[in-house]
Amino acid sequence: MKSQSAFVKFRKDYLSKWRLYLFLLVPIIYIILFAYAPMVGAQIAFRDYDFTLGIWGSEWVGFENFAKFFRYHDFGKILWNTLSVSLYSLIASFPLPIILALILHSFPGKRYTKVVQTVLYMPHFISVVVMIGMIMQLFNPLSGVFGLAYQAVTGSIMPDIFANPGAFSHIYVWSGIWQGLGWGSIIYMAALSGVDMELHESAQIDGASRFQRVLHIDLPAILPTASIMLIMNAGGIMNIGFEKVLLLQNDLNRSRSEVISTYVYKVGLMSGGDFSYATAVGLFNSVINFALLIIVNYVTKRLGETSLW
Amino acid sequence: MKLSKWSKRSLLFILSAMMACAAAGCDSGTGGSSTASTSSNPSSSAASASEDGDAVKTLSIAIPQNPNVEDFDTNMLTTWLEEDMNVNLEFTLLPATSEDANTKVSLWVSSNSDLPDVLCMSLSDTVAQDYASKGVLVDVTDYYADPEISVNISSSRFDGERDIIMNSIRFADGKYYSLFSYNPFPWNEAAYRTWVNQEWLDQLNMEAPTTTEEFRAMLEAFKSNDLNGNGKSDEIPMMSAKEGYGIDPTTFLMNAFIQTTPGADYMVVENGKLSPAFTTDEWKAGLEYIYGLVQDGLLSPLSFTQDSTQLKTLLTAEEAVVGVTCAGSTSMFGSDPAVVGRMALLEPLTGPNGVCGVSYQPSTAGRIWYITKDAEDPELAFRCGDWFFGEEQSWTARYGEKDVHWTDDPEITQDYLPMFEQYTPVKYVGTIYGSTDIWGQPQNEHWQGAHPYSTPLSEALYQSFAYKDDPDLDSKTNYNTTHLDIYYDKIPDEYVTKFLHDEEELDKLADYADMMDYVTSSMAEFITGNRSLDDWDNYLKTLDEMGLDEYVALRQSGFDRANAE
Repeated sequence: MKSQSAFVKFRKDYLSKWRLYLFLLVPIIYIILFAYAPMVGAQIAFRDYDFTLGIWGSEWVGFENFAKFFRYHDFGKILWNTLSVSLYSLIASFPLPIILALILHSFPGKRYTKVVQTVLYMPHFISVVVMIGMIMQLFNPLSGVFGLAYQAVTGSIMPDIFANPGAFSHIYVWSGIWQGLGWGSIIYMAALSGVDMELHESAQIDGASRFQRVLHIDLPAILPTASIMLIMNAGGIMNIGFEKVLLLQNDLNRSRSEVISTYVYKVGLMSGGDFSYATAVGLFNSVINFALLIIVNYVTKRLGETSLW
Repeated sequence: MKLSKWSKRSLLFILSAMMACAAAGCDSGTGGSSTASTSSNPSSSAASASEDGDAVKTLSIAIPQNPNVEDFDTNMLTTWLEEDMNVNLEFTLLPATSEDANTKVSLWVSSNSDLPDVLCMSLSDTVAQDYASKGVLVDVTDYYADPEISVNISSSRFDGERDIIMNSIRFADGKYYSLFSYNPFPWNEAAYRTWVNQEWLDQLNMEAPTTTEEFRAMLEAFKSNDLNGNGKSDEIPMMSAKEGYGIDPTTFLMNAFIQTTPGADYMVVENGKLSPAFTTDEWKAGLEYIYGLVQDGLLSPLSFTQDSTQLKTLLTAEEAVVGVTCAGSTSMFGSDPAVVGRMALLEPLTGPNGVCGVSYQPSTAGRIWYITKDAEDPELAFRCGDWFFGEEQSWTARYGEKDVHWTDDPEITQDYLPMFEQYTPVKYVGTIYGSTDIWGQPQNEHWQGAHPYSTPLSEALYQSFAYKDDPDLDSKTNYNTTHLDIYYDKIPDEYVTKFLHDEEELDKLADYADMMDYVTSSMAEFITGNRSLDDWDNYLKTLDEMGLDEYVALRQSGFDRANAE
């Protein structure tokens, strides 16, 4: 009965404000067309896809493609590689933009702050291919800038970081931080600019130090933004950019650098195109992502009362 | 809330405009994949519009982009073909790298969009077999059989080599679905060549090494002497790169322990039976030897991580820093004659057990120019492909314009003939003018060989490093003849020409896609010491778990099928 009365209430509400609701139609159509309609195609994960028969006509094989992935001898390894690299990336790259934004915000010289900000955004606009090329050149032990500097200081040749499988995750994560730090801090800068200056003034009158003001005024002000960003980042945790990994990959670090997305690329597009299998692996990836998103959302809701839903 | 009549209307108008925008936006979004295919439609309409005999038909061709071809539409070879065959060629450019090009085509095919008439590219065996069996490609067996249609291919140019060609492009069902590119060149058959800095050898008064022991001694001498005389010990005894043509440093060294060829999945052939080289004790001994070189700073571990451009920067530097390197092409040494001239070919080494092998992959014809199901006139598409097999067309396709970039004028070629006569039955030798070789350079005269054409062995045209008007012909090193002398007598008696798998086998093979990755990764790990050789048994065990036996059995049946007449 209660649900029916809610429905009645909704209908009444809708009828009186239908013009406003009409505006919602556009985004809804957009989402259906570009997010939900393509999902129909994800069913090929459960089929043996044959393009002559089409998506609906291909033979239904159930979980066979998933089973094949679980049986894959390197399954554990690539799952672990994916998880460890993305967790590392999340933990290392999440707090840094916040700290940067807080520091920049407490700078008195606004002009200087603007220059620093702009310089820090710049790397965001470099394409991945170019950036990896730069890293490879810079860190080449024999011809790179760092290699030559190392040689000048220590007199010996710098060890090759690309040959060290353990170094892969560090190169991946820290080059990402270098590239995304400035860009990531924009949203926090925006949140900070909304803080009422009166709060700061009264805190100053009460004798609060600059650090105390950051801790008790600025930080709480951006906490809701930060939790939302954390949830969203956690939702994308398994989506490691495969181009970057692929470009950094070589025979020596493959044991640590093979991740789910590069594997999907290799089986799905490079070697003949087993679309069904690649879709199944991709779908598995998304399911894990989805689960993580729900967990993190639940945790932040309990801790800070901010959540996506 | 009451809206006036006017505002109601305007609201509706605004909304409908927004919807229209959204709809238009979605059109251009999904249309991306079909833009290329629509370009094949004008061809059909143009063809049917005028039924006169003189009507110019249009042929649409998908071809990978090539930075060294300025413009396919205005290219000399294009206009020549258009004139001769009375067609209009329409190009759809694919991404330059073969992986990306294949990805694009596979998206076209699997989304059932209209395909261009011709796919002028190479497809992997798996993909080609898949497309052929699903009717995406046109069966051209009958065109081959009809000398009226395959005018140039049926000509006497190919009499001696027709079997080799047809065997290598046949599909597992015994039919043909493509034209081919066939350019036998002994230089390319044993491509894993190694070069030594001859100036350094001369300074040390050393002979070029012939055994693995001597090789090691030479590298040690390179390391401990300041051979480039700059006062620093910056000499790198041996260095190569992770990928590139004939560039892998392990193949040359490993061949002193066991004959092995990367392109044949490192399979050894004995009495028609395949067995993997990478599980043998000889392989392990080879790994140990190479590991020793890396340990003692003789072979730079950068060889396994840097790419060929980084290597090239070091090799082309005026001041020599690298003593030994591996490269399939002299282009790794740049174009400075002083730099190129200091490198000399190294003879294959003999190992402690007397093994002295050479990696060998015989020239075969490669499938290219697939006619698709959407071709309006497949016969015309075949004829146009066949056109390239005319003698002058084929030579132009490789070397550029006749009498500008190459010549078969006996006045000039007679000087070169004696150099090659002893090696192969040569009808005549064309000379390319070394100073004007446009291969691999930006130009607009040919398509850089990315299409069907052939310069068969009977016309073997060797590129000499002589310049057109160079009076000092004999003093120039001719790497081709040296290569024939020192590499060719060591090729194995039995080898893998190619694997020809049927659809079922290809399906199964896909499950072992990472087998070779594991082998090369492990090899690099063992050599650089990232993994200890004590772990060898684990390595064998993992290969076993990955299904090596089944894999070899599959390869064996592909090998048998390719060799069956």
